[in-house]
Amino acid sequence: MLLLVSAITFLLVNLAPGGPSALMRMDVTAEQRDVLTRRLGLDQPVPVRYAQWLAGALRGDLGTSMTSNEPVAWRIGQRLPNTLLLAGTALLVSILAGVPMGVLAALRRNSLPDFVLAGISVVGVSIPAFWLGIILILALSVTLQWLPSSGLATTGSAGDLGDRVQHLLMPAAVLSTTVLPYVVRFTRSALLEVLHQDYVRTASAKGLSRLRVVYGHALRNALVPVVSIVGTLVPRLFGGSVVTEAVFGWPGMGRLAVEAANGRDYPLIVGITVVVAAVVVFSSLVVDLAYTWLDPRIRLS
Amino acid sequence: MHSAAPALLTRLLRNPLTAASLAFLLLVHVLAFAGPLGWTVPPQQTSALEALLPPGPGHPLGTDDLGRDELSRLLHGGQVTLLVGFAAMLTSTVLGLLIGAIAGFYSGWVDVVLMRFTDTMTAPAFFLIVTAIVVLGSGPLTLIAVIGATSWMQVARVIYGETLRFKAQDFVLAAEAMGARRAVVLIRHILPQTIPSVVVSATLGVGFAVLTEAAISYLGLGIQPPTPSWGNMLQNAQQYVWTAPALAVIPGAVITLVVLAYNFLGDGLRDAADPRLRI
Repeated sequence: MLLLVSAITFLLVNLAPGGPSALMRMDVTAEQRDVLTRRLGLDQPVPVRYAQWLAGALRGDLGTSMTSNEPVAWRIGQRLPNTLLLAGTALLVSILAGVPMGVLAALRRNSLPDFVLAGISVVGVSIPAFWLGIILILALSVTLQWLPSSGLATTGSAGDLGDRVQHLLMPAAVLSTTVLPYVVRFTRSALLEVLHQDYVRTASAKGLSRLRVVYGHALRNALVPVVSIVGTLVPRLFGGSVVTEAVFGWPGMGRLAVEAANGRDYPLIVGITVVVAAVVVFSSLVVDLAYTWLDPRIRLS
Repeated sequence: MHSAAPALLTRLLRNPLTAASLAFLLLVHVLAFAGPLGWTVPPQQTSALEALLPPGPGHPLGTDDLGRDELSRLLHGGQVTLLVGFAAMLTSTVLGLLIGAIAGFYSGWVDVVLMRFTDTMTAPAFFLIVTAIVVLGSGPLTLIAVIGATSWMQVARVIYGETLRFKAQDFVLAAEAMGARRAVVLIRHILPQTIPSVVVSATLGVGFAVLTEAAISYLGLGIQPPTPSWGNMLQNAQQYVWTAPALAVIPGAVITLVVLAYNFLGDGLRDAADPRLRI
């Protein structure tokens, strides 16, 4: 799968009209262009270049950035932790908030709380994340002046935990809205499915309180499928991080991708796409493992 | 299918939310495409003296940083955004339909290869969009192609499931027993059954495409100024959030309402087409 992603991106970038060689500035002479072409290996056919790139990538060498002349892997390494922090916090927030919301919707099915939550979910998937970000900045930074509007931390106060949390709060909230609706809906339908099963009826028949039945018996089994959707949320979180980081000036992978895009930095953009795909694949692997561990009936085939 | 259409429409409009969404969408489309006939201020006419005016007489929605009329830009931008959204949805629906139906109908390695490919495309979708736009440029046509080519996976999964489901049913067996060719069975007998799901996916797809266009244009990678689109109107607006908040609030609110209406309409269509699917 990683091979496929890297091949698609690599081919897309290299087969385009002009291609990376068109990047060379207009003012260079023909000889200079020749030297550069050879140095970047652009005189080789595309499959050969892909094989070379792949061989490098397997050793952790993703090539050299065209705009800054720094190794691509190093530039990504600088930004990846920030995005992981943002995406991880957003994921945590959406699970901590989304699961109880889903439980509430399932228990009060077809009543007011259920409809309100369903409405919130639809609004959540319909609202452009960047616009929600702008509105939050307008409300919380401009009008109320509670939270800082952008950046990782206030300059000069690096390392201050409170300051960093303040900066993280709004971007994480905005990013979590891109996945929260899925957590709510999924928890709701998973719990509804479980609530109809015999062992839940047995538990109720034993005279256990409604609370113990739901939290002690039903929810535990309903949560197993909920774990599985975490794998599908990760790509959404990364996609959402591009705009969220742009709104809040968060120095992560998403902004790096936009910078690379605007600078036409081909090796960097290929590297970013492949690293994001790698994180996605790795997280779905972890989810699969967690899944089999939680539910022994499922074994990887 | 044809005789069921009026009944379907009745059921569709019985849900007040769906009916309201449909009416709102009709209104927005008529306004975007016919509105400029009534409000004739050119969307690209700049005026340094009238920059960043608040909503008021002469400019009902105010002006942007270059003194361009915000209402006019909203109407013309609506044409661009809605056309891109609609065309991208058509592209992704056709792609998803083809890939999902072929994967579901022809089992074996075709199935494995196509569905694997579908999973792969899902992983870094937004990053692939950014990459593709960098490489291919950012005209409206490229934008349509790129959004279409990176958002068909959901449709493909739905159609894949539907095709698998119908493939096992008696009418397909009957058609095969009568000697119909494989391709004919797929096109004449199975695909028509998937129309309700396709319509639902397509409706939800417009909303998704509008959101994607807005996000890409907001990043400065999509529709390029001076051509207005709802996304790129928000690009500069963020800078002026302190002085002219209306610039940031209005286009985003319109995007949200339109996408919301498409989502409600899609849900309504799903319920009307198959009430059993309601959970």
